[in-house]
Amino acid sequence: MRSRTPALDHVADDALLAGVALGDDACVGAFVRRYQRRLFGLALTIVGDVGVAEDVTQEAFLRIVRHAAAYDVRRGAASTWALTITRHLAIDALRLRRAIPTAPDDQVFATLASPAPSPEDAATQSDDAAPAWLALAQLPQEQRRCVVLAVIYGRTAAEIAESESIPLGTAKSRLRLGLARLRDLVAQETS
Amino acid sequence: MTSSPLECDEVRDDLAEFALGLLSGRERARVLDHVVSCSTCRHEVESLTAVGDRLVTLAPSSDPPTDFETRVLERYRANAAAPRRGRGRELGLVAAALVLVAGATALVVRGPHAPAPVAGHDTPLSATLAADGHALGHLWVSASVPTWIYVSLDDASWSGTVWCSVTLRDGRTLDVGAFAVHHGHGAWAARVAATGREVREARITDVAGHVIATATVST
Repeated sequence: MRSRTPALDHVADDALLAGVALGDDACVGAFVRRYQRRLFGLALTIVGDVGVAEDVTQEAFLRIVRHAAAYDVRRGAASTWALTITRHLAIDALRLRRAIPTAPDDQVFATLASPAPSPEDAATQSDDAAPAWLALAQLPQEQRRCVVLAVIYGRTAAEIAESESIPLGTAKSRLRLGLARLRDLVAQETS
Repeated sequence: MTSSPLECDEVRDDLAEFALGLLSGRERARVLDHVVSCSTCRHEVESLTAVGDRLVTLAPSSDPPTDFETRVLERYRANAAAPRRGRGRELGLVAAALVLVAGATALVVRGPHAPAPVAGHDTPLSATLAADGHALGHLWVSASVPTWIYVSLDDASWSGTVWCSVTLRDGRTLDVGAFAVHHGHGAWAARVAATGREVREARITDVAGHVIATATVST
């Protein structure tokens, strides 16, 4: 039976996770409802298969419940924490399947990796993603493509080198330089 | 301890993939072996990991298959109901102390009598925490047994320790506990020795006893 507690749908993330940590399944249900689209969307983006993505997302939620007591808001937003857990599981699933991912051809990649992403596109992002979007938009396109492929699509440098038709060393250095540049941009933003 | 530059050079181009969890097997072990002994590269990995964590919020959302939520909750309840020797140790470790849930801003008291994952399907009671007509946060009281109170303060303009107490409908007052509020934000959950329906009012005070906010719970 599905439990539905509308009041909990408005509880702050950290308070909700506190309830999850205490084993309150109404809080668990509210957390699942709040994040299922985002976690499943990320899993599907990485593994590219609905069934595998569902398995990954289910496992992510169970892991979140199991470790909710360890969530520390000082280390990041609950959304980021939940997405990171999902991402790691999805990457593991991708490697287990030994699939060779092709270059993404979806609209998300086209937008994120376009030659000149518009700052206005940040407005279409969720509140917690807009700053990341604005920082990403400042990277040179070749670095941005590598960063997006690695972070959002879980591609290794070797896979990026193949899909982008560039040497492995170039893929590695673009990824490192892109992330380092983003780190500096984020630092400037917060200082 | 910092490793030699040569060692750092050997792993430099792999640090980003390592930070993003993309390396596996031997490659990961090789980088890890260096990172644990090199504070410079370890710091680099930590900072790149933080960047990756921020970027993952850009991933697109997508509707999961029909009844996904139901299937997740069924798995959760099956896990919660199953006997688990391993989890006993895990719970014991967690239950041994106060668990910092939201950094310095939120405490969850999870003592030795903290509940096993117990279903509580009833809708919690909710109320606005307010002072002088201004909303400062929210309060929820679970309708399940045992009763838990969840508090979220979002608009208190100060930092410090606050006390939370509840007044029951029979006039008794129960202390819920002391909690930390930092820069106007705090959230916590704690057990209350009363049923949810018995709770009439919650009161947040500072250490001097001055009332910061109150919430009246309607049944």
